[in-house]
Amino acid sequence: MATRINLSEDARVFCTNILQNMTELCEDIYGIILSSIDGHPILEVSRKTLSTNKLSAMSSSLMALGETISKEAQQNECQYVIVENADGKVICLRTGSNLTLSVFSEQNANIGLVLSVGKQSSEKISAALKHK
Amino acid sequence: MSELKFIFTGTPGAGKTTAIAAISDIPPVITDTRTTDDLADTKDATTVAMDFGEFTLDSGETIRLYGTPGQKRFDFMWKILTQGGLGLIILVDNTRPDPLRDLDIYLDNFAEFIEETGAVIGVTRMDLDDRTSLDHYYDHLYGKNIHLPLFETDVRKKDDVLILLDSLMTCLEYS
Repeated sequence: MATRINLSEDARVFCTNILQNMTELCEDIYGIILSSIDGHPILEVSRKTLSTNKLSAMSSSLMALGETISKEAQQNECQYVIVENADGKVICLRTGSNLTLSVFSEQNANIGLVLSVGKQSSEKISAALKHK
Repeated sequence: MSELKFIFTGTPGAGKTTAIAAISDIPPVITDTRTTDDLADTKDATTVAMDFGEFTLDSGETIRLYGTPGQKRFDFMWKILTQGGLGLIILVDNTRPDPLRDLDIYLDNFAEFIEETGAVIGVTRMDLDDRTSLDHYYDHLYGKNIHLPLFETDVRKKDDVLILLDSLMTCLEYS
């Protein structure tokens, strides 16, 4: 079963350029996956072989849990979840109402830089897809 | 028993979230997300992480109820959620094209957990589609040499869901 979110060719090129630009802005980012909110992969840019299907589903679960935790804590609208590991960092960002952007970076990555690059790119994709 | 934890699993739309909501003493925790695939024809939202509820027994013990995502691509959550679980409730939507094949997916994927603990099967939405009867299910299970309690279940009814839990706990007690 695949997502029904079909990007036009223009939108696909636009989003791919944004993802590639992320790796140029922060060279410690080694992979980015744009997926549907219910866990289907849509686009990927990566220097490593990633299990895109699995990671998309896991990012969906993670964002849903983030949203659930925020509600339970009487907060709202989880924007991103950071997973900091011994040898790398993962940031999952809500992108518009239907997408999730997952960013995978090396151990030495500056988490602030990864987050700012991720957030700006997420906002650009979200804004662009509203009009494409 | 240090922790009473039971897990609801089964096909998308079989009623896992509804079943937990039907018996939970607390507002259930749900992680539903908008569907963007073919499932959108039948459901606007689907569980992508877990459901959670609690039910207190007459003895005062609290049972923790966890619901898994139904879709296979979330099977990593199946492994996480069964950790420390005492038993499995499999819900099968009888209106789907091949409910017996659906059942096999969960029997196969949870085989080790079922072997270590126990399971009960609830067949839902039989009022909407009776092409596959309980006899068909029994024959299918016996053919696989699997002997599990099986019930027609309306997950909206608290008593129906409690029968599943009671049956499972009875099996575990005497196994």
